[in-house]
Amino acid sequence: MSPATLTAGSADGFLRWANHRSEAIRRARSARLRVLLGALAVPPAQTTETLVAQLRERLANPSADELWLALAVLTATLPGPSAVERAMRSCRLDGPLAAFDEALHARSLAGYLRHRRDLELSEVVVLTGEVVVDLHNTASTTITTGIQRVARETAKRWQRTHAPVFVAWHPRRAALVRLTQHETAGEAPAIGVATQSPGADRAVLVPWRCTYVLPELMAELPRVAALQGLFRYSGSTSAAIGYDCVPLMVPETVASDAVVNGFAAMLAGLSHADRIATISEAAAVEYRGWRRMLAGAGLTGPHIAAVPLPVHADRPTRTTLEQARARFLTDELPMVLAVGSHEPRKNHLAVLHAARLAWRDGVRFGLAFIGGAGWGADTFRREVEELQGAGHPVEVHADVADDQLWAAYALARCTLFPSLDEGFGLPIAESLACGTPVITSNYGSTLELAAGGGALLVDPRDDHDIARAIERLVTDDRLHAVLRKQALVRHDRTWDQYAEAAWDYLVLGKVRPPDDVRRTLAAIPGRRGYEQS
Amino acid sequence: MPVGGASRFASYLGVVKHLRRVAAISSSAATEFQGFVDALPAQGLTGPEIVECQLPAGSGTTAGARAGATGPTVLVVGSFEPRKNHLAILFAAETLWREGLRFDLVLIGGMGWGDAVPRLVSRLRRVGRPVIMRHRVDDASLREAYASARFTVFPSLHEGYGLPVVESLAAGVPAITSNFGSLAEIASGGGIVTIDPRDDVALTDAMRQLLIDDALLARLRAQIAGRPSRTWSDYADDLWRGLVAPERQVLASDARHPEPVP
Repeated sequence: MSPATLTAGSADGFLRWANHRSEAIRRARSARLRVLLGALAVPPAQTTETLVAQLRERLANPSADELWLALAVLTATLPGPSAVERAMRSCRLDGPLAAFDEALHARSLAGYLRHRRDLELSEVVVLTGEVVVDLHNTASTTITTGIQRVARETAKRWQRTHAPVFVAWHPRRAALVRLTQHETAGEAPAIGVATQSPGADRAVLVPWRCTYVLPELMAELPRVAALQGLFRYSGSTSAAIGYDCVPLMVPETVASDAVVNGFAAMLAGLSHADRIATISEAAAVEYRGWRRMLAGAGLTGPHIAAVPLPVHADRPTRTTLEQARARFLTDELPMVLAVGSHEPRKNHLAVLHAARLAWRDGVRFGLAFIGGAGWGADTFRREVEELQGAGHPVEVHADVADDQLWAAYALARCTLFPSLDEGFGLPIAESLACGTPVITSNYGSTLELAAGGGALLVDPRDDHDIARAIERLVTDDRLHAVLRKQALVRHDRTWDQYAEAAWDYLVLGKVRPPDDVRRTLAAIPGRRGYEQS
Repeated sequence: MPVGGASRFASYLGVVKHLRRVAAISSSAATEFQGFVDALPAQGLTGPEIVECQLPAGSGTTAGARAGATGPTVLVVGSFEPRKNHLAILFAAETLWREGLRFDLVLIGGMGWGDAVPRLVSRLRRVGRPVIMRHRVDDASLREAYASARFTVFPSLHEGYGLPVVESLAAGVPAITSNFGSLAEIASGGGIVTIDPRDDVALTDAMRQLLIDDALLARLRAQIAGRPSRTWSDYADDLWRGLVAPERQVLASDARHPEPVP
């Protein structure tokens, strides 16, 4: 036998691994060998030696997919592309057992495998033919961002109608575990949040020829590498919801470099996915531009189709309306409402300046902000205090519960949302669903939402334009009535319809008929650059 | 990419989107920039016009490769980072050494990032494989390295241009490189063997072929000698035509019409 020059492992080393002196560990490892052979359609033998021999014979000349499966089952961790490439090279030079021995001892990225003990006994299950929905972030938090709202509302409906396998990532390594029904529904403390590490003792799932769906974001590097391996080698169809490309397209409006880098890593993973359902046509424009850029790396990239989000708001009760009236309204002035966290992209400094211009012209209204702290909001807070000091009716509200938010929309004269870039523009949809007219940006997804009626368009980079729109909507009752009526008769999707449309595309690969897409696009004024390539 | 590289590049693109014109160094790079521009309507911007101005690529002749310590020299130029795909080259070389082929493998490049390549090279050297890694090589030594190579290998996973391939051509030395993007563009002029850089077997086959097939090597050298030569002056002229001249026209018509030109 030639010297093992490239492979840091040997067939003997693998036999020693399989024959560990602790009986519990030995049994767990034999179980994995059996699971692996079973998935490779080899009836597993009894003794460890025979199992190892079966494996050596079956994988003497393996495909990259088969090697991925073997590494995933043996290490109870989903390998990334570089691990698969390395194993393939070692396998070609020194045989499969040496390659596995090497992989089992490989140092992992970012110390993901440092806690080796709980790896040893994990049960590994190969899932075949299932739809696997990754709900890790959403199940790990009680915070409701726009993305989590979409993931939760969708998962809730899929659970009822399609019962897929909901999964999250193991607390300490790149492996998938099953979420309980309560965790999926957000009713139970989820993985990695409440206690030390629930989920560490659960069986590790290896999706093999499945459909994997990511309805949220993923930014942790070791997981992204594992995901890329899953996309490329598991023989599964893979699909994700695409929210926006904000971190890459307008990085100056993102809180930190880490967000940009995490997002770029996720895109690198998604470049090997099969389908991306964007939440608006505008987001599809961004994702298609990104896909075109992949050609330089010799990649084709996923199919991209818009599955626009629903327009929805809950109806507030009389009590919440009364509470909201006391909390948000000032001196019975008409209320202009701005919803969104205080961060540069939401353009709140322009909102303040436009309001100042309108007040100076004698327009009478109160300005209410509802939204979290965001980042880079020091100037915003200073200017709010200055305006308040000068006697202008402006208030900033944080920690507003959903029912209070619905009530605020219902009470507002109009909602002001001149954001610089959005994947969708949830506050527009929510306001319109309440019948409250909206002032928003004249391009991108906000324009697309406005096209359905009920909105006044402005150039968000022109404060005077925003000020004029405020003045018109506050003072012109007839215009206000027209827009309100438009908002109330819009034909928008419900969450049920969204969840079904998303399932049809992400899981079943059904695309809308081209005529239907053309009609949607035709309804968007100034849709330059929207045509599908 | 190393962790952190993406955010710096995104900041750079933040400037690019407000430019009027961009001259891409290859048609592959032009496609990438055009993809970025295509995404800009979503934020209400038009973005720059993308023009393509190929960097110069010379063609040269070689006096012929000189043998290294154990046989002909295979040269690899490029910083040691995953994108340059050194691990695939080391696998191919080890396979060929085990087959009994004799050649020296010379890797020249900056220290990049990641430690997988230096570790593998050490393992190979410990068992006596003729492979060396060189850093901080001056221009004269680099020219000398090209001149004495039998062929060069550059199976990069992504390049805007691929300078080592162009340098190899300028030295009259055939190269093996990737079959897509800017590298395939350069290869189309002749003298180069292209392979799928994600296919280790194809890379191994190509290296074996160039090591044993003298007639093929001669054909490739002849193709290089026949390549049209493009100079830095040509490139500078193209840049002026692509970037400056159209804007001067716009300025001239601006002076006649006070309204901004759309």
